[in-house]
Amino acid sequence: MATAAAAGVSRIPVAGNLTVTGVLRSEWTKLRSVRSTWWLLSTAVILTVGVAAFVSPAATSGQPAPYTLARSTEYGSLLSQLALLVLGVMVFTGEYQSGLIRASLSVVPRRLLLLWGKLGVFGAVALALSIATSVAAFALGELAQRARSGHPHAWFGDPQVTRIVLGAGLVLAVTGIFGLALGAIIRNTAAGLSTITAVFFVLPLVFRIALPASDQGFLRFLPSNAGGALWDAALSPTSMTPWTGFALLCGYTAALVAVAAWRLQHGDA
Amino acid sequence: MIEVENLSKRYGDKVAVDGLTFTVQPGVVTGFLGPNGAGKSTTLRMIAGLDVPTSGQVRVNGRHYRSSRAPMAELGLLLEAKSVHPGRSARDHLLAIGQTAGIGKARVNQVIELVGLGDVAHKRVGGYSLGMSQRVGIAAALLGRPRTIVLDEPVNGLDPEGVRWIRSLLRTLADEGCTVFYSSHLMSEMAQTAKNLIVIGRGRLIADSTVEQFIAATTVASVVVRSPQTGRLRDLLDRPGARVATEGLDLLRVDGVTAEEIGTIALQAGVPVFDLRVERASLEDAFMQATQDSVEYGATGLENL
Repeated sequence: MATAAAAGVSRIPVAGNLTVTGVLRSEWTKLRSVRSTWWLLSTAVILTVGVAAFVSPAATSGQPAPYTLARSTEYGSLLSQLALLVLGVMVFTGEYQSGLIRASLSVVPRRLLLLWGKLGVFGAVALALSIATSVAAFALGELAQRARSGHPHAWFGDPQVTRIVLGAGLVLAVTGIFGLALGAIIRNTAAGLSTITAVFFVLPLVFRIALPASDQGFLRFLPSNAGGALWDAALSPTSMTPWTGFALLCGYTAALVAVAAWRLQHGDA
Repeated sequence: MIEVENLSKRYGDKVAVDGLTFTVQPGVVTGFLGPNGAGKSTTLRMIAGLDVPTSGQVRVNGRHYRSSRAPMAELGLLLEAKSVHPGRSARDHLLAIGQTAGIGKARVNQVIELVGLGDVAHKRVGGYSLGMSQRVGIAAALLGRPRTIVLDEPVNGLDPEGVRWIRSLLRTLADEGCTVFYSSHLMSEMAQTAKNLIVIGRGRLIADSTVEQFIAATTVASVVVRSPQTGRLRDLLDRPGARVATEGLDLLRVDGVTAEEIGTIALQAGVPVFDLRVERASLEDAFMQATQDSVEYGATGLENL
């Protein structure tokens, strides 16, 4: 620190305008430079692909093709979904809990830019990862199945396959953004993770166990089940149609993003 | 330049800042003083657009900071609380901050060297000492070469060498035309660094002046006289407005009479004087005097120690 102060403070401007591109770069730097990102993403990939490869032939032999197909991506994708939800929640809560949010908003005082930047970077990463993972999971699952039974079930190009594989990717990316928006609203990691786990994993289970089948009609409107309709090949009569379900999940997510935007814009940091 | 106009902030029932108005000029170092809970940090956060004022407004370099086109060129900020993710290295933290304004690795490395973190910048901030974290925050504030710099307790946790470095840094910035506004609890430090002062207590303005004016306005300078005939001198100085206290066998402390008057009186009476000096109050004395009615969290004494 003994170096002459003057060396770094000659007043030639170094800072340019605040831009969307700048915020996107900044958010990418933030995302890539903490270990938890890589832990969560690699866990998601390994579990999804691994589970798909092993579960599919064992658990589903003898079932009709679309069902096999769905299961091989679905089990694994549920694990990816959890990882992406956690990562999504932590995009904002990590900043609030460390106090970084104040540094971030002090250089991005037009606050919504920060939300769009985070949403853009995380959304792109989540979408790329979840589509790549679900493609790999399906391919591995199908290949493992072929090795076992000796004949193919289904492959890319089949409309069912395309919907399920890409659908799983889309749903995972949108649920990740759901987590991000929820984190921006709740601002606390522990509370955010509990809420997201309850909404996506615990409540659907509890309702299914506790309620008589005749009262379970509303379960299809839960975010997890609405999204699940897009990648579920074995649609039960009570599920929503795939794209309606996905649209509902997007609706929930958009509503949360709107609340997050309002809260970010109007409150104290 | 920072212009604060009739600024108030209320949290529920609690009024943190109550109708503050002051201006911080460019080209000089301005200190920001107040007891704990006086509203300093809240005011600084409102200047940076982080807290939303209940009423009133703040302008940084003439405009509202939240609508600034090039925020990093306008304002550099160090807040008292940590504002770095512990799992990220100092280099990546500063890069992420700078990239919002198109600042790249070269400038980041420059400020890392400037604050003396060259050897540890690749390590995760979670393992840093208080002083090192503080340097990361100072680096972030300097990163965009802003026209205005606002620092909350910048010398917190720094070693004496770091404190001196901050002093010369702040002066250099001011000499180059920056607006420099900073808070500190170290009065002697501030007395050496700041030229102007804003003093607040319980969210209200107590003083807005230069350091010298503040000390002169709030305290009285006393004169210390050493003489072998203190008894006689005491009698000679016994007049309206004067307060004389015996401080030792041959020492008097006199308030309300100037050194010139005392010297003349002693000469005329033939009383020898060996030492005659004016003792000015310190900034700390002045601060205590000025804020004694607005101390929010005062200790009550040492009786139950």
